[in-house]
Amino acid sequence: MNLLASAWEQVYGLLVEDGQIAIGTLAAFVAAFAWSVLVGEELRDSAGPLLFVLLMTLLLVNLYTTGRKAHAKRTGH
Amino acid sequence: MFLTLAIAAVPSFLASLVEWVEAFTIIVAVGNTRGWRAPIIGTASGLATLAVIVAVFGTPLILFHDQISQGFHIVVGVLLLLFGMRWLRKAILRFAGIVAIHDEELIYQREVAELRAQGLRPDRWDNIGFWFSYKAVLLEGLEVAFIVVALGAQGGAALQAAILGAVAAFAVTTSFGAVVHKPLSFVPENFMKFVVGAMLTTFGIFWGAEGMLVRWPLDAASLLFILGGVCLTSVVAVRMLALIAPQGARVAARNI
Repeated sequence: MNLLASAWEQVYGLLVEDGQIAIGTLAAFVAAFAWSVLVGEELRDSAGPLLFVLLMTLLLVNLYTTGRKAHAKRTGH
Repeated sequence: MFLTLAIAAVPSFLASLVEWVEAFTIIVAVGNTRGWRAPIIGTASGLATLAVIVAVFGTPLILFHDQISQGFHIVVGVLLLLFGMRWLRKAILRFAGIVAIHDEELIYQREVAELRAQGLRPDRWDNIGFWFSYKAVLLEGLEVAFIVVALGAQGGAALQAAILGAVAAFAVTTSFGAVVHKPLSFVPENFMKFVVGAMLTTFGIFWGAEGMLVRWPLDAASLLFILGGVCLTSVVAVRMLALIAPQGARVAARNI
């Protein structure tokens, strides 16, 4: 039972260790997919670079907030 | 063809090496404190369980690959992105000193203390030694299993290459381990984690977009540009974190 709980925790952690990154990644994917469908064939290829930009922005924003939180925890304010 | 196989084998090898090194620390702690019979059987059983997981999830992906090619690219892309972004984030936080570096030596000492506290009955089968090793291999290997399946999802040859990468990493870890009989703390785990995270994120973006029927301007050569962009963003992120927290924070990974 203990092993099953650890295994489940591990599988869950594999994908959603940080909720913001996991949900943000899915949202970025959905946004790029919606863009590729809505803009038509001519602009569809821009969905790839768009996905890249969205994900890298998400990463930077997530790291910024994490860094701020960790620093505040460390310094106590 | 060679590129497809390399894309499956290299990240699989590096990701597996990181995970096997972590599992090995626990196995060697068990072996050095309680004897080697139970941990060897525990390790073999853990590997057998992982092989079943890869077979169960990998086989349908290959069998139905052609029928659901587009949806399939999307699923694999999303999976790789979820893994990749997670590894990348953690490696950047460690590079910047926000999260404490994974210390195999410290983990080894902690495991040895815990195992000694459990006591030993040398005349009987060592249940504790078996379960400690089995759990270590299974839990660390789960991530390897999913990465192998996701990278190998391009077809039978790619799955074989990904499995080969994971097996080679296991062979390298156990060979070194058999010689030194102590944790492999000299392995640059965080750097390797960063490389794997960057590669998985790159492949996730590339294949995910292909699932949206996007045609990349330079086909597979676009991978290099995406990878370059991911690395550049990571450098910017480390610099940014150094400005936010110049002294670092050294928070334990699970608390962040």
